[in-house]
Amino acid sequence: MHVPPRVQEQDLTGHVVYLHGFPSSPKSTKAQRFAVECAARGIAFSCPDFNQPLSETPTIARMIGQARAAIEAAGERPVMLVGSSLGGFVAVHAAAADTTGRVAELVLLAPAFDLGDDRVFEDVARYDAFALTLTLPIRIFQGTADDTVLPASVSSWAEGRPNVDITWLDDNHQLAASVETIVQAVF
Amino acid sequence: MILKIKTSADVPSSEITPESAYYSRRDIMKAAAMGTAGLAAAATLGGIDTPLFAQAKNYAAPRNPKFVADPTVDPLNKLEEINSYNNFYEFGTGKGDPVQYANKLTTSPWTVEVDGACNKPGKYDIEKMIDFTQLEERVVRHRCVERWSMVIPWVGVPIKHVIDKCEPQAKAKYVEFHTLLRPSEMFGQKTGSLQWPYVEGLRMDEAMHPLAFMVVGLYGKVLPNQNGAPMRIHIPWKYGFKSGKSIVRIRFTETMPKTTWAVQNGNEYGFWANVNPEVDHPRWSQARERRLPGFATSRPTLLFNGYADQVQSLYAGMDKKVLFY
Repeated sequence: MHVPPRVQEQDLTGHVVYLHGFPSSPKSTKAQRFAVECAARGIAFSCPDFNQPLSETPTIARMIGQARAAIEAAGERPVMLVGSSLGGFVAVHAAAADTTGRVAELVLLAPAFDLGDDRVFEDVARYDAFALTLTLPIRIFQGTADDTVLPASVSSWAEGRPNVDITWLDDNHQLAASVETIVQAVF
Repeated sequence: MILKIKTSADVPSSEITPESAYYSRRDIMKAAAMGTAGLAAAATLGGIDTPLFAQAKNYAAPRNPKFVADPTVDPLNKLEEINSYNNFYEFGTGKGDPVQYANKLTTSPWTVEVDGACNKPGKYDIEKMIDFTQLEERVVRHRCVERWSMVIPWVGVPIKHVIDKCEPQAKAKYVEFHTLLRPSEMFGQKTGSLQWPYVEGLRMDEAMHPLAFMVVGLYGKVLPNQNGAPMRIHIPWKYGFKSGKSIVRIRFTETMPKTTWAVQNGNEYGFWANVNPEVDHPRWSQARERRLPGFATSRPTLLFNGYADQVQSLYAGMDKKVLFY
């Protein structure tokens, strides 16, 4: 009697939308590593370029709009929204504003939740990551030696959010030494 | 920019989700197509006429606030996620097979055989087994041994209500639930993919626990065939295969039942099958789970699927190696 064995995962189809940090780009090491992993697994991948168009001054609103456009362009597949550093800040706002219902999970790499004193983006004061309520599963990977995004700000954001799962890594803001660990944990 | 939680503990899911719009649209279309009225005639589910036993039943039952998952942590899955992705090997081994093939199943009339160590053996119509005036809605987590999970608004009654009607004797230590055996309508039963009929079982105190639920509805409507119509059990703290579907026999025994997956592959699936992140499946880790519709294992698995406070006293003193296998 042949019994098909159960398998641990099926239908692992989906779409990863990767939101890079600043100053960074879709060419960043982490974005490229996610792209390679997705290609190997048959998962669609896209990464909006927050530096474009160069003629405009980048704003938080523009980046959220680019993220939402990428989510809509993903079609019917469930979306994993990955955000690195400032991209993490954009990711939580894009997820909160999502109307497609297809954002299934968030993965945040050293997310910059606290942009309080940042003057780079003129509209930053209009966006408060701490005020958002999100119900989807959220995974955060955070370096304990990060002096750009302070670990305490991440702990603080996660407080009272039982759907958030933080993995602490012995690393700095770039998480360069942890990329493989992160990719293996995520997929 | 706060995303408000839309759900409320005392409003049935059918009134607050897009699915209610979906259903009413379907009902209207069906009624129009038939050119006639009559609630029962118009009520459809996935294109199948509502079975006799289900007509005029109020499946939009009130929520039991004791058993409602926190929507900020466990938002409801959509109906189309719940009714189109599951294991029901009677209709094929693919998770998209049940929705495709279960429409052949006849669920009316439906009788349940009660036998074994009880005072009320016999064959009973489903209406004698389920008190349709006592239906309640619960929103609970469902965790498959394969690592995917959902949050589901079931409608039904505690299994205890059903068991009490059977009057089990004191010597009854376990209860078996047998799934329908009807190869003419369940083609998977012709393939030998498992031993048929599918048999699951619980220790009596597990079956009598308030969390153990006899399901007859989903999203405020009669249960879709592919989810185990017309009556199936759901045991939220155990892996999904413990929750037998399309139940036709309830049998009380003094010895531990020989359950289907334990017979099939005892190295991988035991009788207890309580959810535990620390006890791995022989071929994969159970530490994390994939919450549909997501495709990554983005959530940590919870002990007893998050119901430890309510059920762990059932297992006081038991060997952990046995308990979680």
